[in-house]
Amino acid sequence: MSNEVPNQLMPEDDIRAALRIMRPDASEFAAAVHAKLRHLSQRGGDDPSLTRSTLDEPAWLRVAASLLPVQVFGKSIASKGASVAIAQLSFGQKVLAIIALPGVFVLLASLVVIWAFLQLRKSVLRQTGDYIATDQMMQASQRISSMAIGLNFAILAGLLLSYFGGVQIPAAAFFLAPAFVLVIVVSQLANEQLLDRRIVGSFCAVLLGFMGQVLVLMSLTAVGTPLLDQHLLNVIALLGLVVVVVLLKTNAFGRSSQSLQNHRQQVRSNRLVVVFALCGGLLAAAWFGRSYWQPVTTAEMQTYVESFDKAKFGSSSWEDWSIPARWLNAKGVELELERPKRALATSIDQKTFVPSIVNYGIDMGILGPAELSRRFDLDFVKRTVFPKYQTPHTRIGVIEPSIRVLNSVGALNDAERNELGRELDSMLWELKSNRVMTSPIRAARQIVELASEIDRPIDTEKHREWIHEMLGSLQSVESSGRRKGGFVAYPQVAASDHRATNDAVLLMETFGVPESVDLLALRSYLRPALSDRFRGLQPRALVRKATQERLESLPDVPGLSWTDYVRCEHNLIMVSLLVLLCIYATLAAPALTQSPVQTEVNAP
Amino acid sequence: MEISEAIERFRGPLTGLIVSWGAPIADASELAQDSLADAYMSRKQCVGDVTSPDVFARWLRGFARNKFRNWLRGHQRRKKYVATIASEALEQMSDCEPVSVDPKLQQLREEIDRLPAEQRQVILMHYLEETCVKDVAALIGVTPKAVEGRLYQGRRRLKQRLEQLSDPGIVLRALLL
Repeated sequence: MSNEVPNQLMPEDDIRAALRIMRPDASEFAAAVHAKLRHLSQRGGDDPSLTRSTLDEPAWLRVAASLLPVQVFGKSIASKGASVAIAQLSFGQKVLAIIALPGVFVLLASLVVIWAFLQLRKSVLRQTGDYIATDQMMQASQRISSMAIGLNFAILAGLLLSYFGGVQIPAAAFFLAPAFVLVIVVSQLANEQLLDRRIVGSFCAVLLGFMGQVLVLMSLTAVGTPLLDQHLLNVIALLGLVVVVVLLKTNAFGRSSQSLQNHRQQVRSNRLVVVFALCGGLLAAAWFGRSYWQPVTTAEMQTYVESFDKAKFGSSSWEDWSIPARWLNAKGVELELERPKRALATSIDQKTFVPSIVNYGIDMGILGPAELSRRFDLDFVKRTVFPKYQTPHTRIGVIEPSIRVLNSVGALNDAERNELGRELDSMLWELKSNRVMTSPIRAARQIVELASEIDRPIDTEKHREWIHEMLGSLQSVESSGRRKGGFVAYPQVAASDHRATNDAVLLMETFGVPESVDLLALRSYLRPALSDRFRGLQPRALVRKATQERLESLPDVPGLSWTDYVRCEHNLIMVSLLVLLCIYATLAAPALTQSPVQTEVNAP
Repeated sequence: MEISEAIERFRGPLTGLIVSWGAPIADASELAQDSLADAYMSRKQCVGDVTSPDVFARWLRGFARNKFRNWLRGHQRRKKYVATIASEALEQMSDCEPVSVDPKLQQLREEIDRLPAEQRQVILMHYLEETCVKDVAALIGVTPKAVEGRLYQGRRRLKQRLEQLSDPGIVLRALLL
């Protein structure tokens, strides 16, 4: 601090002297801090409640979570706690944080919707006239339609900004705006004595129709961690639109003062619209909701596994086949594998044979010892294992088929098993420190399974901690335009991989579920999708289904509770409430008789 | 950032910061020790680069504020239910030799207490130990320039106040008016 104007300023020495009495003793202070550190270390080190997944949540969500009882959030995250430095946020941010919590937000949104219901009812009671002039109705319809379109574009812009602009706004907030606007529109129409079902219904139809399209966009962007296929939102919006159109067209006719011929024509056209809306809307809803009424079943999985007769994409297809096959095997489902056996024989006979496919044959028992002895030169196979000429990281993929072949035919003695057991253990340790150049989850799974197969299992207690840490660090929790919550194949890649996710769940079978893994996000990744049946049942969908069933079978995975759904599905709840509000507004609005001239009652 | 470096760097300003929030010096010192220990133990959870002094300072401030608020809640509860004894009475009851207090310094301390919160905060943080302006700034989340400005204003105000008090004419005029 400089003394530019010394006469005007209090001398620094005087201030120091005045405060000297308060100065902490440096050595005592340091000793006290070290003693506290020792005490904290004995108590268990870092605060376990601050896990990586909770820290990856947005700040407002973590603060909100820290202010509410943990039971509110559901069993699967209850064990994680929600510590956060609340003091870092201002009062306004804290209020926003609480409101932004999905559970609290849905509660508040429900209250808003109830308020909207009451307001709509009040507005309907204010409408006393029975007639509406045609020109007035035209004007009002035009005005309301332009308002609906403007609102929809505003919502679309907000959603795009929220999703692609990185702004952390709960998407459910955008479903509240239409509710408010609907109340304003209905109230305004009631004030002008123009509250007519046709006008309100048209507004609601435009709103829901556009909303349906926006929701398609939302479903594709894969933001958040919903537990259900987000196309269900489209289904609800579409069904709401159908109901509104049907209400509009079945109640609107019969109340006009036009000629009998015109009236009949109107009735016919209305019936056509109703039929079209019912057929088209229901068909579209059925298409969007395919993942619910046509989920992937165990029977389909079994059919896929048994009918697999061609590996379209070589070893990659075999791997996709082996995952549901292994799960069905673990479940005790009797499988008829004659066709896969023939396909495997064909694949092995090819010049471009990839040795790793032998693993899948051995796993499923379709490559027995006799077959293996006949097909492979066991002396040559043995020579590929024991001279250690490969680097450890790439070696596991290379030696795995050889070891499995040798083990299956009983060509490994105890000394060789011991040596391999030690080698596998050291490879696993190596993986702990260097996982850059490999697919670590896959390699760890291969090592653990191989060690178990040669009867030299890995000491799980020794490796549990770092395996848990690795799984936590490789869960993809970032939004990259694709589904998040799964596990990445390589540390450098952000997108989840369905095979790596299955490998991770297999590791969890052995090492338990790490606290750092966000189970809700993982379940979100494994949820069904509309694209599962795009051009036939996709192998990827079967892999996800098998992985999901395997995950749910783990003893330390708690079941989903309704609070988990409230937490993850607030968009669905909000869309449902909005649809109900639109249906109510259309239904409650009176169907006024249309008159060609303006009556005194309707005069503004 | 190593713990020894963190202690050396933030011991004084952190204690001063907690004193400026309203804790007595003995409690402030203990709160500062707790905050440093907890912040260091939980440094892995910090999303920023905790090896950077600026980041660690912000991380530390959060812990200190939470600790202070907890202390304040407990202090208010204790005040409500427990009869408190004035510190002067405690001094009288103790067997310690009475410490001679310079009235000028005592007056200066009182004037520091009367400074606006922002000026008082930086005065305490900067002068409690000779802490650099940069560390003070990091701990309260402002720029070093802002800290220098507050120190300048604080020192000027202290000078003015003490000059006014030492001039009997000013005191008399103030009393008469």
